[in-house]
Order: sequence, then C-alpha cells, then structure tokens
Amino acid sequence: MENTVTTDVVIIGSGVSGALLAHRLAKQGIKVLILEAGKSVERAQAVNTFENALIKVPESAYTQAPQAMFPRTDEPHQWYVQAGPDIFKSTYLKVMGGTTWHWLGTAIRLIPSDFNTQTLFGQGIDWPINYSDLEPYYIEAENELGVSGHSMHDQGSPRQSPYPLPAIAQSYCDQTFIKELAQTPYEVTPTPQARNSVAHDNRPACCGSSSCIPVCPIQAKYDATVHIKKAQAAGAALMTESTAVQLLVGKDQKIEAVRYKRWDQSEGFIKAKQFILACHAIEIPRLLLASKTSTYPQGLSNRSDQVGRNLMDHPVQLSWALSRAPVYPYRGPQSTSGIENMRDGGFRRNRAAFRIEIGNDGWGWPTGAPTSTAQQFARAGLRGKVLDQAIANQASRHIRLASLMEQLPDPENRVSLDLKELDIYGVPRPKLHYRVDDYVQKGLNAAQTVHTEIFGHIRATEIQHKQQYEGAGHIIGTTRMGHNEKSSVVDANLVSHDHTNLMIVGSSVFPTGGTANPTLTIAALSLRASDFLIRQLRLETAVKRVQ
Amino acid sequence: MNDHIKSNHSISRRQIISAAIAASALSVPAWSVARGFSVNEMILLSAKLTQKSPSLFLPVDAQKMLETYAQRGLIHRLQALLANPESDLELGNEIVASWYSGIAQTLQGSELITYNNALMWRAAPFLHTSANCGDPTNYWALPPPT
Repeated sequence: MENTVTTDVVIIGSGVSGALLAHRLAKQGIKVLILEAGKSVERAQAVNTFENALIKVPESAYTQAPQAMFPRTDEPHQWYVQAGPDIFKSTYLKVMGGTTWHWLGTAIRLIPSDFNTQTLFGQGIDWPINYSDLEPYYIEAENELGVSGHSMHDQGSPRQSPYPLPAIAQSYCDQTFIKELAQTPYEVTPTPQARNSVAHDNRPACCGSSSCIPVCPIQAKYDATVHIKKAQAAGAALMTESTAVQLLVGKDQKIEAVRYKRWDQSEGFIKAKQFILACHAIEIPRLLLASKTSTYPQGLSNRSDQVGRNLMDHPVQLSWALSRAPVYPYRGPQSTSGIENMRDGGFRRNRAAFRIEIGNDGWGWPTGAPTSTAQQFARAGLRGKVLDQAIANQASRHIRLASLMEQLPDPENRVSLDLKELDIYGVPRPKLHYRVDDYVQKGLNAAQTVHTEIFGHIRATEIQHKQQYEGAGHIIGTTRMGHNEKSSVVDANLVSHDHTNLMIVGSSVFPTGGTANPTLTIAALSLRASDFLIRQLRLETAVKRVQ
Repeated sequence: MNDHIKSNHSISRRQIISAAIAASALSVPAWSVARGFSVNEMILLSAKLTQKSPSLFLPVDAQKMLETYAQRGLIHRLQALLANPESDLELGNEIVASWYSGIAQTLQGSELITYNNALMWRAAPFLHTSANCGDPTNYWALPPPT
C-alpha cells in the first residue's frame, strides 16, 4: 500500500462520539488520528452563509460539496435515495465537528425503562446494558459537554450528581405553560441543555441568538469542535477533507487499514491497531457495506445481516397555535422547557411514547414565521404602522409544541447501497427504506390529542396540527448493539462481533430509539467505550511486554 | 470570546445596521439597472408603499429588488405605481411583502434580497435577527422592555 500512515487508533468521523473518544485516548498518550470527510467550519462564515440563504433549514449555514455530500432537509431526495414507502426526513452534516454544529443542544438522559422495552412492554428489543451501567457516564458526559440544568428535576432519570452548570432560565413563553398547566397532568420542566448558562470551558454564556439550529454564533452551545481541539492539544492528529471509502480486512479478520480519498481524488491508506467508526448512522453502514469483498460478500461486520437495518428517528408531531396574551417568542434558545412525564407507562404496549418540546421559536418550524407572517399581512394590503402592529400582535403570540415519538426497530427500515447512484469517489449513495408504522402513528395521534388539550388549558386559539410527521434530526439504529452476534452488530462494549479491533460509536448502536434526544446518550456510550478501549490497549501492551 | 459578547451587548446588531443604512443613504448612487426606472426611484416607491423613511432602504438592496422586477418585465407597472401608489394594489402589496420579508420573486422563483435589513425585524421591538445575539443571558425569561 503506497501512501500509508500508521497510527494506534484511527477514528473515522469528528462528531461528538469521535471527538470525545479522541480526546480521552489522546490524553492517555495513545496515538490517535481522526479522519474527517468534510472541511473545518469558520463560525462567522457559517453565520453569513445562513443569513444569505433563501431557505432557512438546519443545513443552510453549511456549504455542500461533491466531495462531502450531506442531506438537506428541504431536498430529501438529493443525497438520500429514498426507496419509501415513507420519506426519511432527518439529516446530518459532513464537516469537522459533525452534526453538533446544528443540533439544538438538548441533553436529556434516557429513562431506565427505555433500556428494557421488550421485557416491560413486549415492544422493541432490550438493550444489553441498563440505565445503571450508563449512569456514571451520563455524569461524565454532562460534565464534558457542559450541561446546564436544574438538578431537582431528574425527569425520570435518577441522578447521582448535580448538573455542572446552573439551569438556563425558562422562557417567558414557557412560564405561560407552567402557570396554565399547573393543575393538570402536564409537568413543565426546564430542559437540560449543553449550552452555557455562565461562561464555561473558554466559551461564553448564551446570548439568545435564537439560532441554535442551524448555528450558534458564539459557541455558547456545545459542539464537537470543543473536543476535537482538546484532542489535538493532547496530541491527536486530524485529517479533514479525507473520506474513508473502504475498510480492508487482514487474514486474522481484524481490520488492517482504511482506504481514504482526499478532495483532490488522491488516495491514501491508514493502518492502525484499532479502528473506530464514528461517522453517524447513515455513513457507518454505508462504509461497512461498501467494503464488501469475496470473503465478506454481505459487507464487513455483517454476519448478522443487521448492518443498515433498524433505521429509526423520533418522528415528530408538530402543532402550533396563538396564545391568549403575548409570550414573545423568537427570543433565546429555541427550546428551554419540555413535558417529560408522558414518556413512560403501560400505554407503551400499544403506542409510541413521546416527550413534548415547548418551542421558543414561535411558528418558525411549521410555517417559516416571522417571515411568513410579514408576507401574509403585507399581501393582505396592510401598510405602515398598521402592518407593524399586526405582525407584532400575532408573532408575539406564536406558540408551538413538538412531540418526539419513540420509534421501534424494524429490520425492513434500512440503509442499503444504491449501486446505480455513485458519489464522486465511486461509492454507492445510501438508499433508505423507511416506513412509519402503526405504533408510531398511534403515538402521533395521541400527541395531537394531548397538544389540543394543552392548548385548551392555556386558552390558545387557531390550533393547527401538521398532518405529516416531521424528522427530529435523530438518526438511530443501523448497527445495533446486543449480546447475540446473530442479531446485532456490536457487543455491549461497542466492539464488532466480527472484527475484534473495530468499534462503532454513535446512535447507530442504539437497539431502540428511546424517549430522549440521543446526543447525551451518544456521548455517554462513547465515554464508556473509551474506558473499555483504554483498558484493552493497556492490557495488550502489558501482554506484549510479558511476551 | 468574552469581548465578543460584550460588544454584542453594548452595541446591538440593529444599531450597527441602522448606522450602516444611515451612512449609505447619504451617498445614494444614481445608477440604474432598468431602463426607465432608477434605484432612487425604487427607494422612493418603496418608502411610499411601506410608509417608511427612504433611509431604511439600502441602495444595494433596492438595486437587487429592482433587478427582479426588470427581469419580470414589470418596469412600466413600477412607473405607474410611482406616479400613483394606489394604482396597482397587487404589485404594491408584493413590493411591501418583499421588503418586509427580504425575499423577492423572479422568473426562476424566490430570491433573497436581504435578511438583516428585512423590515419585519423592525415591526416589533422583541424581534431580532436570528443568529445575532439578543441580550444578556436569560433575557428571554422576561417580557421585552416596553
């Protein structure tokens, strides 16, 4: 192999899972190389790109390139080959720092029952680990990401330690919900967020730019560049604009090297003792499947035939209305409160559980307001102060709820390769089969009912429900973990059942979607995996010394 | 980084934009992109229709806006509208909607003219352009100052 570099550990992907692992390993003196398909992002440029974009979607702050294609919310067929029957609507980024550039920052833990839905409700599949296995790592993850939260609200996830930062204040809009729902079953609690409530970790406190998605202009919101930089400071190497196109297997079934392509189409190889896939739940199965050989005709790490299967999201029921009095949205983080006490119960036998996110972004998500509001009143012939007052009066009362459904694993919901559609490097584009089943649909229907009831309690008017689910931006499943090598891709330590020096991190290993936004769990699992890997590498070193 | 925050809080984005608009309004160039309708006339028409000060309309934005109407062959309707702002309600409403949203129509579809200078951000004190700092941390917990 010409043009080969050698390292101890190569991590493919620089999002939150790869960044945390890289930092932990590099701190131990382990030689780490991070391979990132995309470019580094210049924050001010991203803000500028967002401002100049006609269509304001999560990706509109970032520039696509043929060498690092990523899906766009407004063009679901552009990168994904959508095989139906439903459209998969969630997206990811290929830039240094990954999709944390445009995440909301919500840092909620799973609840204990999320790990055992098969045992408790006869639905989904149990995780090979329990909440108690992950709890210490949730604490570490909250510390690493800098989560602001109210420790008195555990939201169904028992805590052994307080949040590292004081809570972000609940919005003026939230306070309407808190007050009006006080005597109802709906408990409005402050959302834990990886967003600085005070200056922390050389990053400033949030200034309420209302643009967590697509970009925080001042990095008050955590993104994975934080730990990429820390990893580099600890000695890790970073190669951007370098796309992994194939994993090569040695005779001992261990991964021997990764072949990658630079943006100029030149090629290189990286040899390592340990390979970690951290490039999210579409690109991980894509790479494994594209690395097939005559010895591994189903792709790598795929003896179980589970690679790419069980693609999940948190399909969203979106509803919006007008509050009775002004609540002044379009200010602050896009969400600061939620209703978390709808996430568990016997109903999970029959329909999807959900958490309810209360938005501070008015009707921005469902209608594109305030732009659409201004257009509507202007086209109706209003002018001058009358127009201004109409916009102010209505936009100040825009409220919205979003309920995120737990989706069950379905082997037919899957990422495969479209052999007719190749990217610039000759690798097949991802083909997605996706269906929202009755379990989720019943959850969406239940959420509509709950939203109507909540809006009724606060005496809101002009209630509207989106008739189609939205994507939550949560791409889950596709290389699930489990004890059984016949029905899962990695074990409980996230090591491939088929290749002992291959780990997979990120939400692709989740056996079920759970009832929380996934990032904190991704981070906790990555930190747990780093502990395991450090022990393994130390053990190997010790064994070699003895030999 | 803290200096960045401080500057955002002490001088708001809106103040900076207002200063830029005021400065540019002093030197409105007399260029014209469309036969029979100048950028100055576009600004004048826009100010009349929106009932706002001409100083709020940047020549660079007005130029872009004018180009969209020229492309659509609507210059004669702009001329008529300037002579009598009540003469073409449909076009008048569209121009107002474009300035408020910052988005105009072309033969190919919608086009962004401006984001930060869109008049909707000035319609209510609580609104601010997304991706720009609002106020000190936790300001969103209180109603906006009256």
